[in-house]
Amino acid sequence: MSELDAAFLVPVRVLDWTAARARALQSNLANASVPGYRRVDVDFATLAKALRDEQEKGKTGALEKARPAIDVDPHAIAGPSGNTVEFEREQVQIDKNALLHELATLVVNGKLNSLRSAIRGTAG
Amino acid sequence: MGAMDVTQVRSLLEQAQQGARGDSKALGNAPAKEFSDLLSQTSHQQKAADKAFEQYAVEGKGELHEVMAQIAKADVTFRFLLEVRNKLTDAYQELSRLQV
Amino acid sequence: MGEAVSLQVFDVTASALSAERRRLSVISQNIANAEVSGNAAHPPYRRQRVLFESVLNDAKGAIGRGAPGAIQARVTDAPGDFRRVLIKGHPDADAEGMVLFPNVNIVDEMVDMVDASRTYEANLAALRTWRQMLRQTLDMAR
Repeated sequence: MSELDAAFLVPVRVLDWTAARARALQSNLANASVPGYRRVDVDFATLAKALRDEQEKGKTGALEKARPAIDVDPHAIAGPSGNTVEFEREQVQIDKNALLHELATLVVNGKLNSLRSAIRGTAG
Repeated sequence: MGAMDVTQVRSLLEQAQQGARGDSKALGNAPAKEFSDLLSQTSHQQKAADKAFEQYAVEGKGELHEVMAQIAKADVTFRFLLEVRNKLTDAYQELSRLQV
Repeated sequence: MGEAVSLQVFDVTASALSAERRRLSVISQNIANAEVSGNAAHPPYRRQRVLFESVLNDAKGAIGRGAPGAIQARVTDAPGDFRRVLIKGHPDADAEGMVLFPNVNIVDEMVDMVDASRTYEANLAALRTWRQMLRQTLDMAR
């Protein structure tokens, strides 16, 4: 991996996770009234583990290879119709996730702008 | 700004200007040392910002305003580095012209 | 699967919005017919209800492993007895003066209407958030 890629690696991986999570949460919201629907989610623990593997255990490439997975949430409790979606909770998660996505985008943009400035020689 | 404060920067820029005016002794190794200090400081600040983001986004540790503060510091330090570099480059070019 | 997953999200939410709209329309119909009488020979309006179900066909929009996305609304008759009200002399009254009315409870319908509206708005807001996230990603290249 080039040094250029390495600088962007963490925030870009975060974006992969937030994008996948947004899709999962969106589907939950759409299916909130479907009897028997079980909510899905993306676990950030896999990203945390890949990060630790890469940084602390020296497994190079672990972070690059990791992938977000949309899976059924095993801890969600079913309502009377067998649906495990909590409407308000889903909306809150959507907002939190969008905020994290925006932060990661900000970090990537900051690095891009710094690179452009360094190339051009102008600060801005 | 930490180790590199305003007075040090001013002296760095003054040396660059003196060098440009023909006082070539002033433009010795001094700017190189201070500039490399600034370089390493910028690099440290960038790493701190990266770490803060990582901890917040992946581990859920820290507060958003802390992350934003680190990012802002890294940004300001970098822009400053760029300005100093540009001023030094200008001064050096001026000096080269005079010595022809 | 064909289309990019990012774009399928729009289809999934669009299906939810359609379903809620359908639900609202059925509620309006129930309310409009709630007080129209009938009798044994000509039964009154039977309340309609909407059932939501997943569209299991992948082409309509799946968002991940084992996760159906799009939904659809199915309209069916709501079970339950018609209301019996004593109105002697009413054109639809039977021998005892009982008139039949639809099995519609206005209060329940109103509660349902609020729920359907909220769900509609929530899905719409979430879609806007998703669009904003996509735009932020696009802007990185500028």
